Amino acid sequence: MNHDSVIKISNLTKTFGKVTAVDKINLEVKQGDFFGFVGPNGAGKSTTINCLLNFLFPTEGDMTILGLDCIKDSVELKKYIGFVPAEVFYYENMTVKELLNYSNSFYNGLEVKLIKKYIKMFAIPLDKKMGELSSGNKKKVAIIQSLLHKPQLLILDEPSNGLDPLMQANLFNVLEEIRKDGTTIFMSSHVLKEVQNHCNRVAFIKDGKIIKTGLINSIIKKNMKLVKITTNDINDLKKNLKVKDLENVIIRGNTISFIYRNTPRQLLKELAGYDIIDLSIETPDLEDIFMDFYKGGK
Amino acid sequence: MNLLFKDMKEHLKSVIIWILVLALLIIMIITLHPIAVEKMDMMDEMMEQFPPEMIKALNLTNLSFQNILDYFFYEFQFILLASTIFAGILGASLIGKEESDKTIQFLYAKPISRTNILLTKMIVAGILLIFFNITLFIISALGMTIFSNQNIDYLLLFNIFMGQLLIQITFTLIGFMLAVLIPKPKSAPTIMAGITMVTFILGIMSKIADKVANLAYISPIHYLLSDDFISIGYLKFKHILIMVIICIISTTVAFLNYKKKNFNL
Repeated sequence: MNHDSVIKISNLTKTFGKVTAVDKINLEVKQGDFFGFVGPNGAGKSTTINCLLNFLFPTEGDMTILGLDCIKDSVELKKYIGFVPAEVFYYENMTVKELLNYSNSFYNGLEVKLIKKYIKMFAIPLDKKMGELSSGNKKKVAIIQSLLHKPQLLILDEPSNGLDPLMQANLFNVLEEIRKDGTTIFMSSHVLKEVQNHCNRVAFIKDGKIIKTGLINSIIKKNMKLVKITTNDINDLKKNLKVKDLENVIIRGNTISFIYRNTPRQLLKELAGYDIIDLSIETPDLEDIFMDFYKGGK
Repeated sequence: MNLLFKDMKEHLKSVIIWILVLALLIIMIITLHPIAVEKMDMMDEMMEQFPPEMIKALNLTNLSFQNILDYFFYEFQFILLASTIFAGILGASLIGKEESDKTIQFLYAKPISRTNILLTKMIVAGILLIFFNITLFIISALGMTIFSNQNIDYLLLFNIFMGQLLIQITFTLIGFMLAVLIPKPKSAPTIMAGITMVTFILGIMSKIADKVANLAYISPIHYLLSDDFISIGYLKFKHILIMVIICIISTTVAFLNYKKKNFNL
């Protein structure tokens, strides 16, 4: 199957009683994307994923995966997708081996070589019962079972939660590897560094609404600087800088930091004549932008 | 098939425990028959003191403890009550456990339909209940053959267990429906045990007071425990019909609602 648009969400709304968890969201994930779905707790990330997988029925809206309808064609499309939940609740009385065999029994044509490779890479104890595993090891089992049938789309909900740094590295190596082989990845995450390092596209969700979506590179480089100034004239400086160019202003002692939406040249012009003790101008990372979006509400 | 084998394996242990406990009870009942016969005279005297409603409520009409099958049938009501509670719990937990343990996040991420999940679990319940009743029938038949020198009406004994099977299937399907309908399926097995007990008690009340005789229809357990089952030898058609209707309604409601249910994850 070849579809340019792997996930297409149109006007998705999900309400629980009077609470609107997801509010008219539109989202498109294209073939080959490593898509980051970013938002604070309760923003609607898991609800969106649960609707995609038909655990929940949307109140309104349409969703397709690989051109198949997420409700009507749920059985067919699940042949092509792998899913790693945020918190793993698998059969506690099954051993890891039994669970992987059970998972595999739903698909055809698995490669034994691949199974062995992932088991070795993630170092999981095959004979232990799921109920005896730490949350990190449960997560590893969830990751392995999602990969074995070589899915065309992998959906991961907070995948690195509970994994140690080495296993996180292994996970992202595998994700980069399968992405090269053509798998599209849709990942929700709190860890903005990993979204910035691996994803090519990102959507920010807040209070059930998508507030920003686009290519990571274009979002980060959009004429935005993180500025930190230490000065003895802090009050004068604050008064005289053009307020429209400043966001997220934080003052601590004689240090002021803010996000500056203009050119560095303009900033340096404005700073001339002040008694500057220290100055740094950086391109902000996703974390700064995230804080900007969620605190500033833009 | 994978889900069927997984569920069979998962629930077989509890089925075997129930069978073992009830088998032990059955053997105890059978081996105590000679003592019951000895005490019969005393019982007869005692029963003369009882009001006739009480005798009806205790299921003692038309029964003679001299006959081992009559005696067994009297004691069987406790086995039947336990078996029905077990069946309701089985139905409720087969479908409710996936959701309350949140393992549905694993199962339903696989290429399997909701209809297939529910249907497979109903087949699992059917197989386990048939196994349950056949095993208990064989144990009872063997017990009576070994411990009694009376001629045993094996067909009647078989019909008792087939009656029990039908009642169990009815309660299992109600259990399925309940686990699908309630928002927190974790409590479904407990509610099912409660429903079974309440209908059983209402059934007893229907025998005590003529005014509420129609309450007997609410208690499928009493379809089998009716005064004349032993003499007729099988369940009455109207009772079978009521149970079939309950089964059809429960199954339809369960399927229709499971297909559009939001899983509580």
